[in-house]
Amino acid sequence: MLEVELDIFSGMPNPTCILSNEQEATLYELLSREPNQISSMVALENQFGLGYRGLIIRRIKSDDGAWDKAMSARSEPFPNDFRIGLKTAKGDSAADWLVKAALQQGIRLADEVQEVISRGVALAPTAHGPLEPTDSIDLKCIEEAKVAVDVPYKPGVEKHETWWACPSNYFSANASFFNDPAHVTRNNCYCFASNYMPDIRYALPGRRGGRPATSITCGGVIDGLRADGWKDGCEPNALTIVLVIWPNFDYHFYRLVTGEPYWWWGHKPGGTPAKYTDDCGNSIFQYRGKGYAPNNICRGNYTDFCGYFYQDNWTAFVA
Amino acid sequence: MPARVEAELDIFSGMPNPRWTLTDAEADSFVKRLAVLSSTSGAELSGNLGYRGFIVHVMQGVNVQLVRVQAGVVHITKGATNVYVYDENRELERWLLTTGRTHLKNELLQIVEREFL
Repeated sequence: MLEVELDIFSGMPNPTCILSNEQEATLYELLSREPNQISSMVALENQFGLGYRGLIIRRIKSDDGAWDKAMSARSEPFPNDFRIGLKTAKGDSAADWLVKAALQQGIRLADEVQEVISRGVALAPTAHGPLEPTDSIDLKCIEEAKVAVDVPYKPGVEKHETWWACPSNYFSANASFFNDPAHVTRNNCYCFASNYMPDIRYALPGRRGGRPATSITCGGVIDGLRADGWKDGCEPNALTIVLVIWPNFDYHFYRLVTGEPYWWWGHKPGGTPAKYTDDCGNSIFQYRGKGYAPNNICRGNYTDFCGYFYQDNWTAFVA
Repeated sequence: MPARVEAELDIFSGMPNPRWTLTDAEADSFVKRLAVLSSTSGAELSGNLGYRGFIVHVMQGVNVQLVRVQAGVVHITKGATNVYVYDENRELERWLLTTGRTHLKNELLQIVEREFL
């Protein structure tokens, strides 16, 4: 006899159901066609985010049903407990079928929950540490990056005041606000950096201030930032951002979202969700000079570090 | 009514992504290629900096379909409906790149081609 648990909730009990004999037969048929849909119970455990984490299948009792008969005929029976839904199926997905079967069997799920399930298993990036500022931090595990967090300047780039030199910054670790499904694809990195959600997919430094950036270089985009009101030095209660450039192609921003002792940074790559980790899975925070900040994280093609910028507002308008 | 299909190379963070309109023959081919892909379970698409696949806008009359093609997974959004299909060997993704060859700078083409190695 098989029990299926829809692994989705964090505090509340997950929905479960018992499979009928026919359903056991169908599940076995789908899994025997593509056994690689099966993941062990411990697989990826540390990478799960909040949300849908697939289905847990448990053999809760031995009987003479279709599943037990199939297992006794196999030279290598499937485990008694396993998870499905983490791996993509080439053909018919057992997880998709099972979710439908569970709904038909009377499991009641709110539309919002069904929508979460339809988006698939949400794996967090393979982070080396905490994923966001509210997570607990093990001080012994903070990495010493090859480049110290206080070495931000590319030779020849004008020197700006650094965030730790400013006595007053405005902080808001609000990636979740920008990740609202209704808005996440409609705001870019500059909107997140400016702590402003105007639903302008391609907000451009300087457009609001009447002097849009004319070249995708540090100098060109910095001119635009200045037109939008950003300064090179500390401001009272200021937003603090970093500009990086993929020379001649694109710009990207990071925003300082918490103060000392950890100084977390967040960013939003294009129309994708805002986050506090980089492309290598580093959590973007530093503690007493160890750890990561925009100057020493994985930035892909965004090789040019253009400095820190400040604006004395809790939000900066962009267009 | 024939579909109007616009492809977008999802690669930039701040600047507009390169975008081009498929020819009628290409649009027809895209719709047919998409129709034969098998459904699969959902998967989280990457949100890293740099190349993130293609975003394809399919407009047919008042119907608009948004298709995200990334690393073997195709996510189709039509209104409130989400469907995932499997792009075996990233065939659809590679084909989309060929439709953009005349629209994309060499440096971008090279970056994307490296993703397929």
